[in-house]
Amino acid sequence: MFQLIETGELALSDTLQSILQLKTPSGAAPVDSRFSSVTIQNLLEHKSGINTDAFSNGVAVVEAFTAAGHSASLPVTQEMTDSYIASLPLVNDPGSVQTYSNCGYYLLGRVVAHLRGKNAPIDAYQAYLFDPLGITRIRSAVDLVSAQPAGEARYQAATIDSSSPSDLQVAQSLMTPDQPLVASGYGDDELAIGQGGSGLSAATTDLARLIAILVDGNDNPALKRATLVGMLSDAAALAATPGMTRAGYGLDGAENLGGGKFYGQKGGLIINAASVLQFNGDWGFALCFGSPAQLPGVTPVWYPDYVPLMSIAKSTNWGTTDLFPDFGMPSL
Amino acid sequence: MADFVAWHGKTLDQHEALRNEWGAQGYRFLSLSVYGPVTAPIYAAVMIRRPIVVVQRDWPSMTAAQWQQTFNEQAAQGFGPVILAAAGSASDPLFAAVFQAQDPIPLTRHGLTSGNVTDSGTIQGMNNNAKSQGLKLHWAASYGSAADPRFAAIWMPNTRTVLWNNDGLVDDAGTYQARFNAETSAWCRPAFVTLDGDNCYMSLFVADEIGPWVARHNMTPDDYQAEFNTWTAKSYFPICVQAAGSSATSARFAALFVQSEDIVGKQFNAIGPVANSAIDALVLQTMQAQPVVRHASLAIVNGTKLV
Repeated sequence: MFQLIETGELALSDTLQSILQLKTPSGAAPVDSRFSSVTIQNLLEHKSGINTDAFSNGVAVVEAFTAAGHSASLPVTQEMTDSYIASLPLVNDPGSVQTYSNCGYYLLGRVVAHLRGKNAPIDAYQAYLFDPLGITRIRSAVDLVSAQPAGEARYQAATIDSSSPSDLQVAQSLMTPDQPLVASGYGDDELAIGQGGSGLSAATTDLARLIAILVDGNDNPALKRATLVGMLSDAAALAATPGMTRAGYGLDGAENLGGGKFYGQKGGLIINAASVLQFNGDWGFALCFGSPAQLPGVTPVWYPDYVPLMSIAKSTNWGTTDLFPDFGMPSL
Repeated sequence: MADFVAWHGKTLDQHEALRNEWGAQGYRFLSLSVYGPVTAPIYAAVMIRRPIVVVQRDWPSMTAAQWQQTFNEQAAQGFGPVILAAAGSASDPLFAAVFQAQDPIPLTRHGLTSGNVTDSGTIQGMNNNAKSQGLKLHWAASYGSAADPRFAAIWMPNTRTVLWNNDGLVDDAGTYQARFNAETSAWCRPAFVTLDGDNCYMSLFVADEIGPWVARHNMTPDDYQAEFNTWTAKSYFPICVQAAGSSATSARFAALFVQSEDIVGKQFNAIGPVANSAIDALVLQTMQAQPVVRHASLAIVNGTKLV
């Protein structure tokens, strides 16, 4: 997103509709006239007013297309999901209320794909972000167990909160028309198409590469430092605004530490996995759990600052070795 | 191979005679099921002889009132149920139970209905209560009918903090198979399965490992006998045999066969290009505090370097 802003191909004030020109399944304009005023900045700041999670419902998407006279069946595509979103009324006026929005980030991924001329966001990320940085182990999520890459870690659904009281849940698949029961996290959600939100799978070493460019005080092969400082400054400013619960701009929390240094963190939580990315001045870490871990005494529970770990890290003499080359990524 | 004996299709007198015969030789109940009419119950049982023989007390035929009275009396003596079986209707059930010395006495309920997770009169509500108390479903009975199901269950401390699921309560044979397929695809195993007189299945799946196992359900008595013969010939033994139905010949069976009762313990393996014992210890501590986490990965950045 900020690469496109850096090159002048995109502005925060651009509207979503000016780029994607979404239509409902019946081919009509979005049902809510306010949809046309949603901006990229609204989406980055979780202030679009678009229903946050209703889009991730393949059955409803198929029903909407069927009702519009199309032949449709599971699994749904990103294009179908885009149209379905246009058929949903907004929940708030754009820019008025901050509500953490998976749908907003899904749409940002679609914007990137569109402006980069790619079918899917992951293709744009690969070409314009991962390849320049030497990242090879961030990919689209894969839904079904049977389709997982060889050697993929095992994930098991566990209780997160009262909304999912049962461990090891099974649910109906959204990946095939017959909707057999599947283990939750393996086809009952639509991770693979949600590449702007929860639909990426990454090795922590490669996730750490993204942390490194956020910490790095210099330009890097993907982005100029000034661009990143602008993005992080916007996030820190939003986070410091009273009433805001999220920093936005891809982060949950952010703070301007001064001297060109920033704190930031982003957590991820699905039914069978949890992850966190954090940077604080010159240090950062990526941590991924194979179940939705809830660390005691930390709030929010799934993306902690993990102070004990960073204390150890900062007191350790790591020498001069950079391990990025060991994982196929040249030193920055 | 385990030293065990098993029977099915036995009357109360036959069952008690077998229990007396094998119990006197140090065999103890590993599984027990009661089925058929409450006026002429039928039994399926597995008894195992372990190196350490514990005291068991069993009651093969009790009304609901007798079961409650027995539970109260045994609990007062430090004996709690380890196996609980039931047959009959919601209004006229028959219970069979096996007790062992236990501290604490397990959380135990009968007459539970199916309903809201917030209602402690339901199996869902009690499972939720149990989970919040660090307990795990240990054994259960499904009786009544598909239209009016009842459940009895025993919950014990979840000492290994294993993930468990008892969402399957009255699955027909096909739905249970679908649930089984989904759960086992995500590396879980059935730890217990029982059924009611309408051939509807109640299941417990867990996320641990016990070595090789085989699960079968929707079996006639002859089917079960054939599976028993097949798998015991391969050093498996039945760890759970449950039956339901109106007669010995029309009953349907579900069974789990294993080669060992022992749960495979978890091991902590730290791998990576740099060994840092302090960080490894912290991650181990974190994972032990959150034992549902089977694996974690960590990468630390200092400046532009991956350290």
